[in-house]
Amino acid sequence: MLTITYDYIFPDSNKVCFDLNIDNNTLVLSKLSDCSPPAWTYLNFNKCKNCTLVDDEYPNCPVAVNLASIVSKFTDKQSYDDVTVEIKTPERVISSNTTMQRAVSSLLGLVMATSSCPHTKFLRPMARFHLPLASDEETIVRACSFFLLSEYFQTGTAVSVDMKMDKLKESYRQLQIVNNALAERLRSATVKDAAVNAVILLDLFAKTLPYSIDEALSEIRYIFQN
Amino acid sequence: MYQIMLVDDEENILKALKRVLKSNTDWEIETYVKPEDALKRAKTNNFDLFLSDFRMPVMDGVKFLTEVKSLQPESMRIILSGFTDLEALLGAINDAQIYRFVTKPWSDYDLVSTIRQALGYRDMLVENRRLADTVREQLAELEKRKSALEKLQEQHPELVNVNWSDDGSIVIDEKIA
Repeated sequence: MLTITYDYIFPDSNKVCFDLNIDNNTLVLSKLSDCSPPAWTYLNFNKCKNCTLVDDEYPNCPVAVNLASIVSKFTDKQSYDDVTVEIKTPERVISSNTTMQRAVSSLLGLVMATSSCPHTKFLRPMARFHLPLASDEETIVRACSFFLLSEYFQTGTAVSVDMKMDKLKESYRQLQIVNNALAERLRSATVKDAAVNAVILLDLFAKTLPYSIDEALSEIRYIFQN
Repeated sequence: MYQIMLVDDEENILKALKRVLKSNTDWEIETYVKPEDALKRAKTNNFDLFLSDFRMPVMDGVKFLTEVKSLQPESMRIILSGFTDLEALLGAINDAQIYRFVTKPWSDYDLVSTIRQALGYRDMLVENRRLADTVREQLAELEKRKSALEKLQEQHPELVNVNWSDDGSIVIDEKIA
């Protein structure tokens, strides 16, 4: 089991901690809570337009169920509130003083990637090498690199790799639909805006990546040309 | 060239917005992380449209846009927010008199269309005001000429009261002639 912990320490010294246990083989997150999930997690409530799950098998949206355990701890937090976040992965500890929306965004990104959603599944290998609080530039490098690796492993030969990364662009376009629906769910669940804005930050990247690929990855090209 | 100001306390949002809007070559964009700085700028420079986040530290979007409204009443004002409550929405409509409330995450296409519509609406308001001013000026001129004519009629009625014949010629009163 791969364990990643997120500790949030607030200016009043209050602390909120999450232990995320991720299966080493499936890279799926273990249940975060045994409480019955709230109504806004029902699969048919603000269901993603591109959802392929059926409610007989999944009465609740698997991403929403996992998020419910997290956002319930942050209902009184504004997106711009200051927080110290400390993240422990098996390899390292990362600590940062940042805003709530950025700190929560990092956690939600990991939770979404490791939930049983067909549209976030492609992110699981990145979750295995989770880079907390990653910048846009870091995420572009990681997303493209992981995609090319996954192409290599899936096609079995480097010749047939989708170098234009059309499939990756499409995956991120589908992810934008998921982010929109999740934001709608969270709007009905939260009092303050930290959790919604965390999804919004994730969506910024989902929008940036297809654009970035269309622009021939110009913002990271310099790294490989010197 | 339209002048557009974007205000959001999260820099990544501003960066993403700029990227979406930059393809519109007739829009000049300025971005601000702090509404206080944005307000200072609005005191010295005119903007056609303000797009602001709602929840920000120090000053929220409704307060910012209400101030903007008193500085630049003809500007279009839009709130772009991930979350709001009824009270905030009422403030945005009644106090800041916003043109539109756009939710985050936004659709790039819808956002650009909304801004274009708002700018078109602003052009129409400005044109309507210009036409109304022109009509007012023309009415005032007409009124001036009318009173001059009345004065002339009073002093020299023979110059004003002319008898026209059926063929368009002037009939001169023989007694006067």
